[in-house]
Amino acid sequence: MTMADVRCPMCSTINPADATACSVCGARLKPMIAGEAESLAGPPEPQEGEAGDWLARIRSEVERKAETSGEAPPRPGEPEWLNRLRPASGEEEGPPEGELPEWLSEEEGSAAGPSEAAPGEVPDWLARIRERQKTELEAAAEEAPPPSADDDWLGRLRREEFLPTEPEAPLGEEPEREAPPLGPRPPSRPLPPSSPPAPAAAPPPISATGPPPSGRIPPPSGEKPAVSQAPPFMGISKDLLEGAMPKWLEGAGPSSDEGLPHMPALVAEEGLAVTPESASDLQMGSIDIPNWLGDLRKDAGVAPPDAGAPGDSLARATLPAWLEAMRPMDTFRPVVEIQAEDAQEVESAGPLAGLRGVLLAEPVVAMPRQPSYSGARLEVTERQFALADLIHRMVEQEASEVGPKPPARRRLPFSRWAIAGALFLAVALPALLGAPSLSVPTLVPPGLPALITLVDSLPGDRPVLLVFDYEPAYAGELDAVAGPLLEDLMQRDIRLATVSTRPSGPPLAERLIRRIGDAHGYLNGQDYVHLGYLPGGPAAVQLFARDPRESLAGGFLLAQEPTRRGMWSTPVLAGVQQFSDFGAVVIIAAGTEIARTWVEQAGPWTGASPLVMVASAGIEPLIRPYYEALNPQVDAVLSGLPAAVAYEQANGRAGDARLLWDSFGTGMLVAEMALILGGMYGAASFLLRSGTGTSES
Amino acid sequence: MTVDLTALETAGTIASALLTLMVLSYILGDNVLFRIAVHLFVGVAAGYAGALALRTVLYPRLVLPLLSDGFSAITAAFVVSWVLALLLGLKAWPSTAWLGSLPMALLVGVGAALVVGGAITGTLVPQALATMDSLDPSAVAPLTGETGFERVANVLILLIGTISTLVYFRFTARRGPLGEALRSPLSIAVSFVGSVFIALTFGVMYAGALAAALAVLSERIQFLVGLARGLLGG
Repeated sequence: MTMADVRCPMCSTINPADATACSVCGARLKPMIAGEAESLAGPPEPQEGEAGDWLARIRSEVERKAETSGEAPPRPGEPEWLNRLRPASGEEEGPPEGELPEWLSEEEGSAAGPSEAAPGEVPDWLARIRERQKTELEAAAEEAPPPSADDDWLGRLRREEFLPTEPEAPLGEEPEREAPPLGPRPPSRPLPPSSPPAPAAAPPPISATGPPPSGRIPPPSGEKPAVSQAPPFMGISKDLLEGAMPKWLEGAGPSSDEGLPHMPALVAEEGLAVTPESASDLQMGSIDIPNWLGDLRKDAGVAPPDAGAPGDSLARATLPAWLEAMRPMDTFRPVVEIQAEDAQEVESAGPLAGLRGVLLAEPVVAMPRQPSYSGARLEVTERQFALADLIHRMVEQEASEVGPKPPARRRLPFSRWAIAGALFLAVALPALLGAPSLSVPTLVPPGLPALITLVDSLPGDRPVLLVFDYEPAYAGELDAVAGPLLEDLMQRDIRLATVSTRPSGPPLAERLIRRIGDAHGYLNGQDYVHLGYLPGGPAAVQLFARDPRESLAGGFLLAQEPTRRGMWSTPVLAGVQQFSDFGAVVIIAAGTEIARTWVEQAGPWTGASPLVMVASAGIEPLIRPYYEALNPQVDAVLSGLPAAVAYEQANGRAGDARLLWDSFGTGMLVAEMALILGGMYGAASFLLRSGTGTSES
Repeated sequence: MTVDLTALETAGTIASALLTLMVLSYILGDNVLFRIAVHLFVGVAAGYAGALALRTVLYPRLVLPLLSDGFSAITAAFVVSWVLALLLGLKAWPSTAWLGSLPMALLVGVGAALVVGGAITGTLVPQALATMDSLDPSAVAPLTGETGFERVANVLILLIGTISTLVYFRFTARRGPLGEALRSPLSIAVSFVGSVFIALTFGVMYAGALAAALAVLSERIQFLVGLARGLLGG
């Protein structure tokens, strides 16, 4: 980029120095001034030798008219409207020298101007001018041809460009606009900011204080209108236009600065900053303002500054409480500081390229600021406070050091030994001495008669399935309880088949059946068979109930090599194809879960075959609901040693239950006594502790 | 009770008596004898269960068909059984234990489905219907034969016990200002009655367990007494 290149203000593209428009965006590179505007807006200037006939004709007519009237021909380059203006004659140059109109000679009341002068007070020279202008206007109105584009194109252009909102005046008023009278001027457009002050810095007369009349293009900045070009209707003398002090102003004020109050400059000079202290020297009241300016201020309604009025008499603005609370005092502190003009950066891009002091494009919200701490107050409810306190106490307890536990004093379990000794002695005495001998129960359990009846009704040609689902630890009880039932079945020569979902089940079954069956001549494989272990839990139980032949892989203690089909070919299981083909299903269980599993999974597949539960005394309360319902899922229950003893009595043959009965009875007596004594000891201790606590409190 | 003192059974009976005494030694406190007996029981039970599973489940299901029927026994179900068994066996090694998740998931899923389904159809629905039917005083229990005032009393006890027990297990309540549960006085009173029924039930179960334990103790004491008499020639 060279110094002669021009940067486009719109897109920052570098263009040659002679370019008038940007090669990229087409924006104008050179400012448009009045002369150029006219040249652009008007018809193109014909080149030498290419002038149209119309222009040649006009020029010849003008020259001929000038020759006949003695006027000088128009100078080339001057606007046509200027050439058409008649030069002011001697009698139109204004009042005679040394004679001023009264309105102008008056020191006060200049704002009213000559318009307030009575018509009879108009001087003769001015009256003549107005009369001649009136006659010329009337004649021009009568003889004026319709406006053509040739001779009035500039006027129309001006009206269109600079008076877009002003209605177009009739043709008859056109001369008045170009040559307005000296009366009060209509409100016109203000001067552009860039327009320099008038050549005479002193306040001009009222006729010259306003901007140029509407429709006039202000001269370009820095240019002064030529004196010779000033239209004579403005009434401005040649001396005034040349910057000389008018006569009327010479007498209005002192010609020098002596005696004037000191007014500090509002705009600092280079290297000097305007300080409030220096600005305070400005006392408006001490300035001698011209009368005409004072009148203007009165008309504008501007009150003169009062020394004691401002600020103090005004009430301080207050915000509502809610709005004051929302006011972000600390958050939105002004962080954008206005720097000196020299320190401000020059915009490098965009339509504002080259300008200094441009507002930052970065929004204020994105600039760093102080963090806001407002709203950090936590509202805690009662419950939250209680929970927080609880957590606090828990943490404190965790954090507190726990001292080493003192070594526990070794105490011999005398009470446990005493109870154990009593129980052992009570259980062993009947076995050792045969005494005491307790009587057998006379009351028959409620479900026993139904069980005996059920066993009596079992068909002899169908085997009974015995499920041995208990652990060896319960063998001492359940062998004695199930013994009478097996005794009854064997007395009826009913074939037996055993199965178990526990690995220890088949040996327990073999042990019990062999011990009881020896007296009845029962043989393995002929009178009874062990189907063996049924793995799989509840799934295996349901599968076995659905299809017994497919669910079991091998038996236990079979006479022949275990095969899948081998055990089902024994005479014991002859005729058994499905679960309901068993004459009865007897479940010997020590736990609630396994008993319920058989009831739930195999119960629906029993058909008409009865389901009998031989249970430990500990699970009897949970088995009873399946039995005592109107539609029972268990057809008979045999539980506990007393029921077994009663069953043996019903069978007429004493068995293991009866052998255990004395020991069991004495042991239960000791246990009950221990419970009673323990309960009494606990109650006494509680009463003693409560009494001690009451007395202490 | 007589004890057959043949050679093998004599050894077994003596071992059984010693183990019984070792377990009963827990009365004196935790001791080595009790621990030896417990470890011995656990080991014997596990070994026996493994041997039984191998003999009665794996061999008849996975090997015997091939030996008896040859390749004709290889069916889809047979192959699936082998694959699942092998995958389950891989759980023995930590690096391949994840492969056994599939058969384990199958076992657990099927078992859970069966348990839940059986509980609903075999216990929950029948017991609920039985409870409602039991509230009819005119109905006569077919097995117990209760009639008259006994039946009415049983029905009332059953009704009160069922409702109060259900109310006791009601764990929903309104929340107080400090987060505590607020229950109505009626609910608290009914819950107390329910807790009494629950306590009675637990008492009965404890009595049954005590009776079962005493029966077992009686059997063991008589066994020891009989063994002693046999050894002493009495």
